[in-house]
Amino acid sequence: MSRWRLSGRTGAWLVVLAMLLLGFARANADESSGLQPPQVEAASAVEQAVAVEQAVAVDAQVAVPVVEPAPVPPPTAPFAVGFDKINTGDTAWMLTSTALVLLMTIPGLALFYAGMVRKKNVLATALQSFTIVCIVTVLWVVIGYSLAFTPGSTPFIGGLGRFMLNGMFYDKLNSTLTVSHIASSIPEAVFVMFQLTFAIITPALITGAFAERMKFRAMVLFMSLWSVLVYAPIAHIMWEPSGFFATSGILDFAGGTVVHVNAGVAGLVCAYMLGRRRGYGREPFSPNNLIYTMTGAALLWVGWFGFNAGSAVASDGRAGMAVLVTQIATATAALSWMAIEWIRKSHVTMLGACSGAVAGLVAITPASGFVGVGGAMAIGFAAGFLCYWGATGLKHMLGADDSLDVFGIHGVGGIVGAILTGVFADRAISGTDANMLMQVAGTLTTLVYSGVMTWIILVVVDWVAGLRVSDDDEQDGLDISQHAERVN
Amino acid sequence: MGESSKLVIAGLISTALRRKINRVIDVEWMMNNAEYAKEVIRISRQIGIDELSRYADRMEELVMGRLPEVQPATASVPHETARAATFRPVSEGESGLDSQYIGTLR
Repeated sequence: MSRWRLSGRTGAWLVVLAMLLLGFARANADESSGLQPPQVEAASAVEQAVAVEQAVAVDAQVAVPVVEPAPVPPPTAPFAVGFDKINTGDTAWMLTSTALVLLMTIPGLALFYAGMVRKKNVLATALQSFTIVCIVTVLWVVIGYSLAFTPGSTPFIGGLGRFMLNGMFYDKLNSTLTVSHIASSIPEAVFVMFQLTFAIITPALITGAFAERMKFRAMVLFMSLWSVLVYAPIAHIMWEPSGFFATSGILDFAGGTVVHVNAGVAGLVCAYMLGRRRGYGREPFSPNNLIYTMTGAALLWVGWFGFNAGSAVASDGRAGMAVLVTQIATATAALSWMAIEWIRKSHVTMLGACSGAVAGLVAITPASGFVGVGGAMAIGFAAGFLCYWGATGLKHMLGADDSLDVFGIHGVGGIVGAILTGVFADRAISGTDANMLMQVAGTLTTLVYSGVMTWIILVVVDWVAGLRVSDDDEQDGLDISQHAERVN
Repeated sequence: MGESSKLVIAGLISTALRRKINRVIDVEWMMNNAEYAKEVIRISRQIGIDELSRYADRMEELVMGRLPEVQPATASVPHETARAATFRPVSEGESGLDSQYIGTLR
């Protein structure tokens, strides 16, 4: 009994001492880093938990535990940690994934789209993707990341705590750096960069819907506004832990709603607002070079491993499963698209094979961290079949000149993936049950919000700069009329 | 050689002209009237399609009894292989590709 009291006093003293030391260290760190109050609280909570654990460990050495550690709430905002808290394996994989996802846009998507337009619009189409990379990068570090991935005063949009990435730091002298509360094993700089690549490819996907007819300056203005006003809020409500659907239990592993439904419906609205291309429905708009398209599709396929497996934000078994199911769903979707073509047209096309593969990649995106092999095959099969319909039958029903079938593939594929994630999510893999109601609600919310906001932005851009090139410029091609260049 | 060859070539020209420019000719009259044959040969060459020009050359040889003017071969054009001489790329119109991409991409 006396020994128990002695060890209890020892433990209590150790706790007090540790807290004093940590408080002192924290005060110093605050002076040097300028952390915002919520982040200090989060950092403090983690450090206190470490101190309590250490005290308990000391107690355990003298055999009797004294202090029951109070449950520490998980951090709710980016916070500072020591270098020793960074997992080098996770960081290496996330750096690799970041490069892979950026490759999806340039050159992947740029080539994929450039091969499908007429020769007079090749450069303009590829340049749109390239320009979006630059625009979104700047906007992301200025405000996009903060709005998407920091907690805000409402569950619908983040705060301005990371405006210009203010508060994010790497301090070699004190061996500290900031991490995101969403990915605490990797530096926040890596997380910012990884999420940036998602913010880049989403608006870049939309360019396929208005290909061959939008003014370059209108595209620049539209994409700038869309990235901040549409992408950031949708990413926040789906992925930031305090976001509306994130707290409601929606399953969107890598962006079925945030990226593909979002871009798909925005593309459809663009196609309606810009109107049909001259000669649409009367003249053939033959793809200029399907080898570009195949090269782009192959880069998308490989890059998607970073997109899906990188969304595990760890170099672990879940990332491994994500790679596997991504490959399976993609191959299955490509085969099912090819089979439909074979049956309906008596031949298989290169464009069809590429389209089927992309459809599978899109559909497995929200499910990639939650489903097994069987689920991946089912999702791939459904994606190949339904996206084929989306790019043919549905396209005719909708009547819009969605030039490169952004809605038919990304919109339909995203919806299929989001819904089927609710069907095929495996609790053993995901660790949670899917809520079909939330899957549907999240998808519908994205469709409505993105559609309405895209329309509003286009109205504003049309008023400010005009959306569409003149008939003569369209006839000459955007390469010459917008950029004074052409390919021979 | 002779009449049967003329008939074959005239038939080929007739079919090609009908397909390419929707023009109908009289095959029998072409075999019997040199002036008419010359005019058909001229039109066939004027269209600028290799296939028709080759038929026209052959017809001229059969009707006029002489070969068309031939460019002397030189060592600088070794690529003039049998394949190059006979290969005719299928146009988008013939293959149906032009209608494949009307109002739809996939």
